[in-house]
Amino acid sequence: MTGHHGFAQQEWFEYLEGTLPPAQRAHLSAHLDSCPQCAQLLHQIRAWEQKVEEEARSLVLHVERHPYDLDRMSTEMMCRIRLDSPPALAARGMVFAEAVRLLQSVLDPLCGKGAAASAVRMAAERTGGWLDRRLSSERWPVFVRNLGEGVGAVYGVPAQLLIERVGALVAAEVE
Amino acid sequence: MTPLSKVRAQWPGFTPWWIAIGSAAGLLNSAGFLASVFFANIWSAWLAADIAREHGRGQAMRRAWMLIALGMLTNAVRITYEFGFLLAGHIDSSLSPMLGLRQIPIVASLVAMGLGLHAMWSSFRSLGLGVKLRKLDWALMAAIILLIPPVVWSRRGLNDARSPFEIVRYLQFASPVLLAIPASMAVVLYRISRELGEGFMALALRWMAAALGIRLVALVLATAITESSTAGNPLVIFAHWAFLAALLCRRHLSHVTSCLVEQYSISGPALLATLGWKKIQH
Amino acid sequence: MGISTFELGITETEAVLDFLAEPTQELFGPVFRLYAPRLLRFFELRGCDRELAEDLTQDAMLAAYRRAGFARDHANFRAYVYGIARNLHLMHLRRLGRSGDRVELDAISDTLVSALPDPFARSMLSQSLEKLEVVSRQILTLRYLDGLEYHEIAEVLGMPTGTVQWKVFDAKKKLAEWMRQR
Repeated sequence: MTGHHGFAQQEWFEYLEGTLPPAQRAHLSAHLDSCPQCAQLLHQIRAWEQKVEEEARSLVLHVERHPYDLDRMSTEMMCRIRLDSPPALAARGMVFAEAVRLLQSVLDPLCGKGAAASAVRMAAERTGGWLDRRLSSERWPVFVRNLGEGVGAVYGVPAQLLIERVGALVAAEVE
Repeated sequence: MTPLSKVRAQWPGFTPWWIAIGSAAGLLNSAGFLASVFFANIWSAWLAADIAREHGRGQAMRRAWMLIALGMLTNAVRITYEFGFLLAGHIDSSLSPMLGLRQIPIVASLVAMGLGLHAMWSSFRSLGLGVKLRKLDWALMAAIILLIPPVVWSRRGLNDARSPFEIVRYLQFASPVLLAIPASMAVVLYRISRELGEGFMALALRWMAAALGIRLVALVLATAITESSTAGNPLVIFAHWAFLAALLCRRHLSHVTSCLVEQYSISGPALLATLGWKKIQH
Repeated sequence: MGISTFELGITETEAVLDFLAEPTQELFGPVFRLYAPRLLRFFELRGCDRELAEDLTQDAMLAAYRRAGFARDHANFRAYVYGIARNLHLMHLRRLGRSGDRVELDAISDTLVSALPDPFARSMLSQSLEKLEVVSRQILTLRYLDGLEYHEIAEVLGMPTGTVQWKVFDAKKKLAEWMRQR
């Protein structure tokens, strides 16, 4: 359908989306009139789109059949924002979530992904916060220490040193 | 080069070679067999003790590696003892009852190994690994235990079972039972290795599980083929060298980790950048 | 059940422009009410129950609020919010030790069984998604279930818009051929 019929893939895409300029559209339509192979494929794509769009609508309606309690959620959201630390420090919370992922990626090839994920989860629990929600800057050294101790107990002092080293580097980079 | 690719680049691929060399040496004759197993055990004991030193006092993993080292060392002592008799030309314990006393280090080694592996399991459990076993694991462990009664029964005809020393007779029957415990632990270790995913520790645990499983198979084989006392020798040699391979993998993990610590100390920020970390100013 | 811009008395563009010009809690209110239902749907379609979907939506919206400065402009704000939601969902699955791709596919297939009038008929959507490679599947899901534009999908997945369009057409062509062969 592309290449050998003289039309670029982008043109076919835009034709289907209805965004192809009129002149090119007319040219392509003329081709479709004379090429049953392309016409049939285009017909199949449209049939597929129609069916999938219908199913997607049913799926969304099914998921939304129980109304969302937006008033309650909005109130809770505003409370969380008020209780949250100042924006500059709060933004650091997201940075630390990324830092946790980084520490995990350092551990993955050494300890195995399963062990790294488990160690990070347990260290977060010991630190007293769900990873992406409450791990504030003050808790970072505690988290690193907990992770180092947890991994070190199984993998030895070198692994503990590695975590502490990378943890300190990350903290220094953020500061 | 990222830290990850450095880790991969440092992998020497030594394991199969060591096993092949060790096994080939052990298959020459009885002396070669004993020498090969002795060498594997001494090296394993040294490595296990070295790994144990990486763990803090009181940690379950330190206890595990120390007990494994002790088990290996005791086994090496047993082999030295047997080697003395071999040199004197007494390879049959019915002719030299003192040879039967080898059952003491054999059992001591198995007890140490069993306790060590249990301590290792406890340590992994502290990290949330090996907590849940599957039905297949339980079934395998049950199959291992079921293998033991016929093995014990068929060993009643062996020379050590007719030893004039009472303790030797008892220990001779106890050793298959005690071998079943580390073999059952092999199932647990294999399950933990699957939970770990990839990595040197997972590799080490797989070799360890293979070694322990094969030792049991070797025992069953040696019991089943009573005509030849050396029938299980190739498997025994492989098992000891596979255990050594496990320790080499574990030791290599420490080496790689130490190298990474050094690299992060020298060029930390650059290495962080290779992992996609971007400095964010506030 | 979503909330329309008519009910809010403000268009989506106006709400986002106001908030980005002055990222305060008050101006975030309308943005939250516009985007929370979409994110709830996003998480529920990917196998989260209502409670978890609410938690993750709150987290995603809080992150969007905290890091408003990272949103380049109002035209990319939707992609920016969906990008955060997608990362949070992947993190959540990672904590559970599950593959995001498989979970998403299973969740959509399971929900389709309940959603379609004939539960015994195999859904075209889930069959199609199963046939595609991971990236194309993600693109089609974001397009047909989440209703994102192609440039927004490109932003969420971190790839050029042209690549997204190429992959969409390629996927459609592949699926049309598969339909013909059935």
